[in-house]
Order: sequence, then structure tokens, then C-alpha cells
Amino acid sequence: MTSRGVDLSLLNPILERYRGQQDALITMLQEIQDVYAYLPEEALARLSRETKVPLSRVYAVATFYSQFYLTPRGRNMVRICRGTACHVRGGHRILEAMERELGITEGETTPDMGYSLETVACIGACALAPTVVINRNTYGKLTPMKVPEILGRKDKKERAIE
Amino acid sequence: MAADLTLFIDGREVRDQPGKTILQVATESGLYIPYLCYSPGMKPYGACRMCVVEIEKTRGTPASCTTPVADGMVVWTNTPQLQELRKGIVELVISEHPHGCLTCHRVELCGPQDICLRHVSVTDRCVVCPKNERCELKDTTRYVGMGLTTPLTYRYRNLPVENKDPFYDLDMNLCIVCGRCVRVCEEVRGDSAMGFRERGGLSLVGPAGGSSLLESGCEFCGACIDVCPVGALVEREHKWEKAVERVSTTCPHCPVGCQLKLEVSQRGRVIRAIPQLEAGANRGQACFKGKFGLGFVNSRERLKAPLVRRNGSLEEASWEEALSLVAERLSGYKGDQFAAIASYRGTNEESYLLQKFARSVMGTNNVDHSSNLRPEIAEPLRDVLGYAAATNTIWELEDARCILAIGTNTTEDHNVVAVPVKRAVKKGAKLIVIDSREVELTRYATVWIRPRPGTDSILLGGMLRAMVDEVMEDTAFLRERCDNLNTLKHSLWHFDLNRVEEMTGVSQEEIRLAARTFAQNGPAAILYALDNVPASHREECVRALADMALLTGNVGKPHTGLYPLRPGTNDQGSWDVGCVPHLLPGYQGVADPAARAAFQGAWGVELPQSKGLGVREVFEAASSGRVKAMLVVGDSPGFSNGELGDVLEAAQKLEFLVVQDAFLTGLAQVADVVLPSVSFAEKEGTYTNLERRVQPLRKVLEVKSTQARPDWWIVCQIARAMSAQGFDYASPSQVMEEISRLVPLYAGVSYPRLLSQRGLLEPMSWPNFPIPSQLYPAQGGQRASLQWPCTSQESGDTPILYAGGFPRGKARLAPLEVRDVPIPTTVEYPLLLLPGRVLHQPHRGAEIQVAGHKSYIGRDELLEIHPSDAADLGIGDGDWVEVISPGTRMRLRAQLTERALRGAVSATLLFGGLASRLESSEDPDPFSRVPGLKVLPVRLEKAV
Repeated sequence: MTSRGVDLSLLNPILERYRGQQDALITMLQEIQDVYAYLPEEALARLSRETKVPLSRVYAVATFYSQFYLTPRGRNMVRICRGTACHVRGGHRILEAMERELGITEGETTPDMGYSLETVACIGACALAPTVVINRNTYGKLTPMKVPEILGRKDKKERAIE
Repeated sequence: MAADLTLFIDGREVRDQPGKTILQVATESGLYIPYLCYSPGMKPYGACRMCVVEIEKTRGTPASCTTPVADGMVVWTNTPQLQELRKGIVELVISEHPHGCLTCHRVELCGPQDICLRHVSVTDRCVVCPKNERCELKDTTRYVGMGLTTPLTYRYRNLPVENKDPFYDLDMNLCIVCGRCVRVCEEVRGDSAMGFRERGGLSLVGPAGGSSLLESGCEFCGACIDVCPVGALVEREHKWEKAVERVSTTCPHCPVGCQLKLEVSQRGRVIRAIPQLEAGANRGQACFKGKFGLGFVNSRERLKAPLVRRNGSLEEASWEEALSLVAERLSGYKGDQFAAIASYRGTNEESYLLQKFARSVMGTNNVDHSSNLRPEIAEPLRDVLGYAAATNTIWELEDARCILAIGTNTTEDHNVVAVPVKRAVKKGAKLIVIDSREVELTRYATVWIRPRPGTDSILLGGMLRAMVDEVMEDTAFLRERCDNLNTLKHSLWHFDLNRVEEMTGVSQEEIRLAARTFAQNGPAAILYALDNVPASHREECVRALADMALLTGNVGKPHTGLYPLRPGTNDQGSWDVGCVPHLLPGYQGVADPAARAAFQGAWGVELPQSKGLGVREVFEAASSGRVKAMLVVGDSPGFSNGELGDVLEAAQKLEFLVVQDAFLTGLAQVADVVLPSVSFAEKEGTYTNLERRVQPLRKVLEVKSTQARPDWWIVCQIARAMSAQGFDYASPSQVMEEISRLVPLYAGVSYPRLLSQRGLLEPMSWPNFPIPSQLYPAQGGQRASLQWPCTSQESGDTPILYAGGFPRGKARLAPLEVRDVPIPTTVEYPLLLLPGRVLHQPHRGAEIQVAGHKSYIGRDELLEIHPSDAADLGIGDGDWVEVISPGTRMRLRAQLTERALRGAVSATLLFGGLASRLESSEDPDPFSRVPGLKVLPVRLEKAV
């Protein structure tokens, strides 16, 4: 069944893999988010029905962790580190450059759903400061000049990720 | 119960049993420890830390709500250190809660807390909180002694008040996130409609995802309102009104007989209902009907004076005139041309008096109660087991290992019974639901079987056959306590599973699975209401269920047994006191000369001996002129929903009709005399609930400025006006004395016993402020009630029937036969509509729309059709279709699915839709006319 363009059949492998394991809720939510890039309401409802975890509980968990998103996000996730080390090495300038390049501010998504931009406190790679994480790739020792370049690189190499 | 441990709380010696927590023991002995997240009736949570105490020889300050008591414990609840800790907690709590009313220094000067308009800022004022002075936060805050000197400002959340739900207002600005509502919904009710959201400082409670409870699986039981310590969750109706009095009584809406505390406002209105924690029937739970459906008591449309028909129209008259007219006219219809019908909300005393009136004054057995539409529901139990009643108590269901619910829409019709069922499922019990409709309980079912409508008894026969085939019977139990095993087994040979499969449409595998699940998971209990079972099959169905319980040894033990779920509030009591056409009080046949002689001796008159007409036959008899005069007490859903045929037309054929009612109902409008009766809240009496529990109705309101009178008084006056002896009762308690003399089952029932109570501190002394309201609900007392048989004033009651044996020595297993199923469809209406109502359909969102003050659900409802049926009618997936039944029309969207039964279509509407429709109803008493889920013959037309 599809509604509002969400293809719920993509859930089947996840639900199948964790059948009967109510305690795997967070893992399931993570995998669902990998599929849709966010947690569509319909998918959560289906998850609740199949696992018999009450929807209110699913919702409570999904809103508790900041890693889960209930609204659609861009296909690519850009996270800019604002930890102390990165800040000292000019992380705020990287953020400004990124905002200029994408035309959005922190916490927003580009209108074409290409990119979402957010900041994180520290990614634990302080030796590489200032750093940016795009999807699962980490870029270090950045300067504002390199920002358009890494976005372009990503475009070619990482388009495959939904 | 002997106390076997002693502890000292604040220097006071307290004796109690082990297994309780310090907080429980303290509050039960009248010592106050402040708390917020704990709520009596729920498991301790230990989150708020308000209830911290110091225990000598123990480190730190443990929370008293989670610390069990131990012998010799020395507990201090109010040391400077504890107060300092609590102060810190309260400061945090009220840093996000408007607290002018909590910390205002004028609070004691102002008095009633309803006049302050200017001392504090707008959002703080006493008058802007709906829980003003009912709030539990005030207890804790004042206990800690928080004054305005506390340099506090608070952050107002500035959230809009949610008012889309039919009965609730949610004001999250007042929420203190104690989580009581979330826990009561999950832990106690088993619904989980509420949850936490977000985290840390942003955490709040609310329904999942959407903002409205209507789309979250909420059944509008009001449990979260009852536990909310602040004004975040409140009833919308009478939200701002303040109670001056609280009286406990019995809910008049269904046979569960919930004990409610009704709050009365200064203007003499019932403004709120709070279910009673100490009550054995409902244990602090209620449902949408009891919680929100008592507004009819306050209705302005209530009748104020007797009405007499003069020149074709009803006009007000005096009681003397009306009574003498009734007496004079009724004297002309003695014998079988008269019939009396008692109310489905009638008390035991009223039903008793009405049958006494019909039998001794009018000389006829034509007497029945209006909800007795399925007399077969319990009658066969008398033959098989001994008593026509439920065998066990409602809350025993909680610990059953298997529950079979057949043909019952429990969540709507007997809501509180569904609570222990859901809790049992949560504890791992199996739930077998046999119903062709999708009802709310199917969501929790381990096995859901959908037989063809009307074939339930055949399916049950098949299950019994499967049990016998696989030797699953309890042989020891059968040998010791049952007769007729071979007759039953012999009769089961007709239930060949191939044949059963063919007739019911349920596969043999499913039948065997259900049989195994039931037989192998003891203790097992059976709930049934016989919804949609054709009349000719009902007795078979009940016999099969009784056989099943006996065969598996599930009778006379805790957590087992049979629960016939009748429709009317006091059906059980009406049967007990003989308000049925074929039985005298105490289940003694009218044809039995010995029984008749006993009553003739007691009542001093000759009694009729032929069986009378019941409510199902009487209106037909009225149409045909056999019955010429009737006395009808109260309204009944059956009078208007067609279940009894065209009642109004039949009533118009009567030569003389007297109606006793609180409202001018359809039937009252065609009556010759209408006598105004008072509602349940203004009279005394007793109800016997579905678990045989006799509970008192108390006078909550005085009858003000109207001439309405209790039904028992009216019947007595009519009898006295007809110069009958034996109707000189001063109060219902005297009627009960007579009942207990004549009915052995009620021999030990008396008003003094029912009105006594143990350990309750009630009523609240409202003016004596500030009394911690938290002390009251925690009292471990118990409200008195008696479950019959209660054979003498000294003896106890009987929660479990047949525990010590059957009245006849052994139970008699009943043989079964395969009966043909009448086909309810016709050429004109070839399909069967299986209506269903569920709380929540996860894959289908609902949209709440608000129009004026009302909200309703804007959603395309689906009609499931089997593809081959659809093909015959030329209907495609997603087409709009009109579902036409005799008298109704619905527009639904077709969904083709193999899941649907051939020849039947099913529609599932949201239960919340029922709730919002009830709220918007103009009917003065809409809850008595909740539409049932009846299988209907329909035809489909493609809509254009």
C-alpha cells in the first residue's frame, strides 16, 4: 500500500529480519531511516502494527533521539563540527561557507531535497580540525575555499546513496 | 488479616502487612507524605523524588513509593534535610508551571480560590486554572511551604490548548510531566494512546504523532484525566465549575456497575464523575459513557409534572389526577390484557415492585424488563450449571491464561470488562476472538476467527469435537463434577469437522488451533454477548460454551468461568427479582404450585400460573389487540432501533398506555398518561451487576422544584390507588427487606450492610482548607458490595460460583445439535454488512475537523469486498459505493480484498467517530442509544 508517495514495501526486509524482537526498535528505526532518509509517519504506523510496539512508544523513542527525523531530509547529510578544536581552527567559517554554497542555514534542507545541513558538537577527529562529515565520509583540515570542492566530489561519488 | 510487622513513621507506631511500600502504609494510616509521580492503583515509578524519606540505619534518602516496608523500620518523613530536598524539586517543577496560585501569600485570606483577578499575572490567576484547588500540586507545594518569597519566575510554554478531542482539553502549559497519564494508559488500560515525546527540558506527554487523541487509539475512558495531578488534562464539560459535594453511586449505563463519585456543583448539577478506586467492580476505571455520559441528569428537557392526554394532546396535571386516572383505567384491564415493562435502568426494588404489581394487582405474568432482548443468554446456564449468572468476578480475568470472547463488542458495550482482558493479554494470556466483525479486541487477539454470521454455535460444536478428538478434556473434573458426558460426546458426532468447515467458512486447522489454545491454557474464561447470533441458535450457543467450560474444567475455580454480557444495566437483578414473564422472584417457575403458594402467602393474593408475554412478544400482542393496556417504565434502545419491530405503531393501538420516564421520549409522546420519574442520581436503590454484585445507588441530588418522583414510589402509588395491599413502603430499603425474605439468594443483602464501608475517609471536607486531597484516594478501604448467593445476614458473599459444588450436586453437560442457519439476506439485500469499530487503524490516518464546538473525523471509510462479489456488481478497487440497508444508506470507498468473506462486506469505522458523534448529539440521553454493531443485510450500488 502506498500513501503520500511512501513505498512501504521497502520496510519488508527490515521487519522480516527483526521479527519478534521488540527490543530491536532502535535498530529498526535506524534502518528505516537509512531507507527513507527520515521516518515517515506511515512507516512508523506499519512498524508499530507489525511489531506490536504501541505507536506512542515508537513515537516516544523517535522523538527522544536526535538522530531520528520525522520530517523529510535531503538525500545527503552535511554535518559541520562545532566542537572546541574545530571552532578554534575556524569551524564557524566553514559553516558560513557551506551555508553560502547550499543557500540554506543550519537545520534546513535545500528545496530540491538534495542536502540537509546541521551542526554537531564533536566527531572525535580533532586532529583533522576543522572537519565536515558528508553522509559517511569525513573531510578534514578544511578551508572555506575547499567547501565547493568537497561538495562537488561528493556529488559524483556518493549520488548512489538514497 | 493479622498485621505481622510494625514500623514507626514519624514516631508513630504503624502495624501492617509486608508487601506494601512505605508511602502506601503511611497514607493508609493517615500520615501524609507528598508525592507527584505515584498514583494509587498504579505501580510505583520513583521518578519525582517528592516522597523521599529518611530511614534510620539506612543511607541516603530513599523514595518511599518504591521502598517496601520492613519490620522495625524507623521512618522520618519531615526533617529539615528532606524539606530542603523537596523544595529543590518543587522549584524545578514550578519553574515551568504557572504558580501564582501555589505560592500566593493571600491564598488563605482569599478563601475559596475563585476570586483572585489582579494579584498576580494573567496566566497565574486562580480562576484561569481548570483544576483550581483540585490540583495535587498545591498539596505538595504547600506542604513544602513555598512562599512568594521564593525568588522564582517561570517559563510559560506558550502552547495552544488542544481542544480537538470530543471530551478532553489538553493544556500542555500546565503539564509537569509526571507521566501518570502515560502509565495509566499503558499499564492499567493497555491502550498506550499516550506517550512521552521529545526529551530533557522539552519532554511532554501526548498522543503519538498527531495532536489529537481521536487518531491515537484512545477509547476516551478518562483514566488519564482522573490521574492527572494538575490541570493539563481535564474534562471539557463543566471544566471551570467547582464541586461542593461528592457522592458515590453506581453508574447507570451498563451492567458492569462502575462505582463513581459524582461531583455536584453549587447549582445542583452533576459536573464530573470520578471512578472509585476502592470499588470491587471497576477498581478505579470507567469508560466514555460513565465518565462523559451523565449530562442527561442536568438536562432541561426533563419532565417536570405528570402529563395526561386531554382532547388528543398531553397536558400537565396533578399527581392526584394522574394517579386516579391510571388507577381507574387500569382496573378495567386486569388479567392478560395488561402488560408491564420495567426499565433497563430499573433498580432491583423497582423491578421487584413492578412484577409484584403486575402479578398481584393486575393478575398477569405479562411482565418483563425492556432490555431482556436475549433471554437465552443466561437461561441455559441454569440447566447446565445451576444459576443464570456469570460465575466469576470481572477482575479475575486479569489472571486468566486464556480468554475466549465470542460475539461481543466488549470495549464499547461493557468497556471496563475489556480492561482486565487487555491486561491478561499483556501478561501473556491467549485471547481467542470469535467474531465476524472487526471489534476493538481483535487488535489484541492471539487467534481471531471470523465465522459466517450466525454460525457461532456450529463453530463451537466443532471446537468441542476437536477437543474430544484430541483428548483434551479434564477427565478428573468431569468424573467428579459432571453428568451426561457420554450424551454430549455422542451428540458431538454430528459435528464432523468437514461439515463444520463448510457451514462456518472456518478452516479445520483454525478450529483445531482455537480448541487447543483454549483447552491447553488453563485457567480459561469465556465472555459472550451473543451479538448477531440468530434467536434459534442462542440456546445452543450458550450450551456449547457451558459445555466447553466444563469439558476443560474451567468452572468453579479462580480466573475461569463464563461471563454472559447482557445489555441492560440491571438485567441480572431484574431476573433475580422475577421481573420476567415465566419466573417468580428467586428463579421459581410461575407454574410451580409450591412456589406460587409461597408468594401467595407472602403477598396475600391469588397469582396467575400461565407464563406471560416477554418484551419481545408484547408489542406484537399489542398490535394484534391481545394486550390492551400497558405500563412502560423508562426508555430503551430497543424501542427505537427496530429490534422490537415498530414499537410506536404497536403502542398507538393500545387502548391505554402509561409511561414513566424522565424525558418525553417517542413512546411517551403516544402515551395516555406520562408520569415523570427521576434519574438514577436522585433516588436510592440497588443494582446487581453482571458479576452478581449488589451495589447501592445513592441520592446524589435532591429533586428540586419538579414533581418527578422515583419509579418505585410511582408504582406503589398506582397500586395503592387501586386499593391494593402490600405497597406501603417508606423507602427502597424496606423493599429490599421484603426481597431478602423471599429470595434466598438475597437473604443476606440489606441496606445497612451495603452502605457500610471500611476505611474510607469520606466525604471530603471541602471548606476545611488546606487538606491534602492526596490523602483521600489512597485509603486502602473497600466499598461494600455483596455478590449473591448471600444466604444470611451473617454469612459472607460468593465471588466464585460453584467453588464448593453445583447446586444439584453435579453439572449436567448439555447435548448439542447442528441447526440450520437461517439466511438473513434477501433477494433485495443479497449481501451481509459486518460493521466494525476499532480504536485505531495504524495504516489509515484520520483527520480531525472542527465545526463550531464539535469535532468530527474526516476520513474516507473503506468497505472491504471480495473480488468476485465486486466483479459481479461491476465495482472496481477504489470506487465509491452506496451501502443500502433497510432504512439506512452509507457512502464508502470500495477496497477489493481476498480477506473479505464471500457474500459479506465489512466496514470498520473509528471508535473515536462514535465518541465525537455522541458528543455532537442533540439527544438528551444519547448514551442509552449508542448504535450497536448489528450484522445487516445490504445491497451495494455504485455511486456516481
